[in-house]
Amino acid sequence: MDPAAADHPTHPYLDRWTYFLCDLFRNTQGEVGPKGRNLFWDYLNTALLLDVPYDQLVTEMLTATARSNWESAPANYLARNHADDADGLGVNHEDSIEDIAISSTRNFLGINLECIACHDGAYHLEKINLWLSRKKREEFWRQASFFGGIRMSRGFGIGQEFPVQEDTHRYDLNYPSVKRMKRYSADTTPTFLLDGERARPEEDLRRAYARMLTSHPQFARATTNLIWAELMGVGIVDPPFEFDLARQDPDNPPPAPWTIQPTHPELLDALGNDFAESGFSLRAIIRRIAKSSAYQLSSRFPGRWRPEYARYFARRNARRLSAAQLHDSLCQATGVFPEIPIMGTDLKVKYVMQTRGPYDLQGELKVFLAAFGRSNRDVADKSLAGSTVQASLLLNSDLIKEKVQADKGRLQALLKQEPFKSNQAIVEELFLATLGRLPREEEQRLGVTQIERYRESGAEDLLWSLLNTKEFLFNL
Amino acid sequence: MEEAMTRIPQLTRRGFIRAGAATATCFCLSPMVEPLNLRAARKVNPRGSADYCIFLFLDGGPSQIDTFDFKEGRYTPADFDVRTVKNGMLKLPYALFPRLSEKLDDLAIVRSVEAWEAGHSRAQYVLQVAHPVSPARRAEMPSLGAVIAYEMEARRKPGDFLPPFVAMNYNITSGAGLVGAGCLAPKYGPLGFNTQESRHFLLEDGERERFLRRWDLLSRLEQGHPVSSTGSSRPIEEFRSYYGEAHSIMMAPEVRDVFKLETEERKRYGSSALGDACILGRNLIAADAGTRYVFITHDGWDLHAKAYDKTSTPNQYTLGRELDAAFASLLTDLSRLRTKDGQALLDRTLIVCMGEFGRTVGDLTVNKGRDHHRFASTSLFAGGGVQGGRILGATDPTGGKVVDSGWSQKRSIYIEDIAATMYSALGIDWSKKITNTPSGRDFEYLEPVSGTTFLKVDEIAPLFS
Repeated sequence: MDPAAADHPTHPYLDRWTYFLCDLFRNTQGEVGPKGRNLFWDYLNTALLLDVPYDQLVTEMLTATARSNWESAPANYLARNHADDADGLGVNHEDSIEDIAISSTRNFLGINLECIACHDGAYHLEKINLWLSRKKREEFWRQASFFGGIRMSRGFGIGQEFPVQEDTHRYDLNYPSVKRMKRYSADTTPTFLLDGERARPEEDLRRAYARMLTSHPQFARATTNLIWAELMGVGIVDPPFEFDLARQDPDNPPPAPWTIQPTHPELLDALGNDFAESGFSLRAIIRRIAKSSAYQLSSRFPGRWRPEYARYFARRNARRLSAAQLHDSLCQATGVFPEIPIMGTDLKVKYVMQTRGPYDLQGELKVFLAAFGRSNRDVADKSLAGSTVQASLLLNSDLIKEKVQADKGRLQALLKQEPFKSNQAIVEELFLATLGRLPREEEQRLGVTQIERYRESGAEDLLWSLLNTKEFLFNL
Repeated sequence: MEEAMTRIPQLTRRGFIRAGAATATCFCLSPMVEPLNLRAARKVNPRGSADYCIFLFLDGGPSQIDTFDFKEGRYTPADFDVRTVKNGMLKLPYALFPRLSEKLDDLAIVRSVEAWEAGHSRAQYVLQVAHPVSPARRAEMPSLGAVIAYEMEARRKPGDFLPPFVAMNYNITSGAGLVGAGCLAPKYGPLGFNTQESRHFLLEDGERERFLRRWDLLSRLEQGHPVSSTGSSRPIEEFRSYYGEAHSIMMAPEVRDVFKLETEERKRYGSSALGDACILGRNLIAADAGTRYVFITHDGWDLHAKAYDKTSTPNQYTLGRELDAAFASLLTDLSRLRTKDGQALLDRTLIVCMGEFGRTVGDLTVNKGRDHHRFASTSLFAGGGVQGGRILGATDPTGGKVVDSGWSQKRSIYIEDIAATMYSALGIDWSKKITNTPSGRDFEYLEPVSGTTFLKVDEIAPLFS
């Protein structure tokens, strides 16, 4: 998946990072309909293919207008953040623009404004986020106010199709919220939360917001950190959407007992600068991190491990494969693939990473992916937590049982190949296909014995066992 | 107010893990969590009238005026077959609820329920947690089921092999997600599955020997792995314990009876996902092997459009009939089954049935449906000490507004009160709090303040007298 491997990005690279961006932007037909979802997927996939500068992509999404989000792809970012009114049908304008402010500040600046969307930071966030503890709810409103001109409605019935238009600016603080505490009157002049900047005379408000957001150093830092977290399993600031801006600068440390938030502040700044200098090339920053020695570490550590070594990158941080990675790895290892129809198209795909959203997954695939914590792109984000159900699925689901059958996929090819392969060669190939390494002596012996004793059925046992090892599940 | 300190003993892993670990593997477990501090803020007297709880969640929000707060109007379809039943106690669309009409002696109907939220995601979260949505605390908030599982830990018997909290058919494609253990140990979170997909806990006939063979090979491969001997990490250790648990469930001889779905019985329960879940729920509880809380989702009640249109499924008829068959059969079976000391299982099992909010009233909308409405909805209660055959609370003639709360408090009933009722029935002191959460803020089982409103949260006592 290293994009540097070819001049043109490979499909696995495009699929994997499109899936990542769709998770990030919570692209789902539940919110924008199948047409909006597919269009948005194509848009992001193409942006990755062409390596469209990320600041440009973000600007395009935040400033989009459209007759319909089913006709104009970038408008789906905003349409996806529509908030239903109390009847579940109308669009609540104030809640929507606040959701857009929360979403864009979270995704592009790594800052979680949900708390101050309801109340001032004071008396609430002192122990949680120093910077936010000094922010007021009305400052949040002034951030959301950049979007006050957006008008979204269900223009075409009860589906998830929305005109996204720019209209007379309004922010009615008296309009009842469906999801937040009652508002009160305040100054809502659009003002950028991070530095107090306001739009220039005659400047379009959303364009001004996008300009301020993408030119702020925090945009590059937060994006880099997010990609670092995705690749390394843990961010330099972690969780990646909980930045505390009062705790970033080692030369200007916060008062005790607070500490500097990033584990490696200089590294984060350097990576952010690197990303900005590359012209916000996602491909460049992904390549940079993937080629680092930190990323390529082994999970094994010679000697006695101590938790405090973690920050020195002494070994790879063990993390479970994500739901989609796990499923697709199972397919890749066994050579047994599903055919997944993409809703709203005639396409069928082999990998979950190629699906457009959670609604494409039906039956056992849906259960499998959900059990392993795939994002539902609504409010339940991706999770790598384990569970008993996950273990039972790997041990005994039809999905697993089918993949290890001797008359299917890789195993069939191995067993039927002429001239016949030795048992030893079969064991070696199965280890390479599942764990990407050759068996150790004892493993070789166990595998060969199983095949000698139970023939084809023994080869199935071995494949099943390898898929159930922690080494496979955690990509150790 | 009196403060009582309760010391929670060091949590031990479940009996069934022990059994599994001893029989087949060398899996070792790291301690799950530190003990938590619990303080009772005030004295309450949980009644302890139930040992189990089943929550039937009507996903999407059913129309109260088309179900158990029935209001006849010009919108009512003629083939609803409206009848007055149980000596004039209530009117019902008989065509939708022919069997529950016969079970009204078991049911207490509460018509004065209000919801805090009117959007599905948020309302479903609140329904599962009985706390407001708090972005800062969401990650550490356990669901009602997890608190029940945690509180019931002390009552686990040696040999119990079923998890304390089971959730079936929760909509996993969108919404709030199934809320888990929060700040409690992961083992108190739900074992969640889809009834159609419950078979991975069962070994088919003739598969057992082969499974053991594979398990043995796996154990040998894992044993020799370098990660097993040096510096394994916590997520890996936890996964070993999940494997142990899954293995124990699969190996238990009783498990076949628990997960069995037979055609005849499925028919009696309505041949639906809800019916299947009710059969499994009944079995899980009747097995008396550790399961205390069963959360079952009945999907499809969000009828914004074509609510009465039989060509568009689901509709009011299909949903009503599915609920009717499943719920009525569950009541029948639980009153027939006996606990060890000879009581009807229904008398020791509290059943709560409700959606996340109600729906708009009067004529159907332009889309021929009903939209979200949080100011009136109906909840059903049965078993576990609840006195059936009664109605609490009342709405105005449209069914859109609560006019009589039906209990000692002058306000409508909220999910917090329903949660207190569940805790009380199960013998759980709902005034407790956990003081060493990750955020440092107390987790009160139930908070006296929801949003900006002060609530004197209490159990719905008239249900029991």
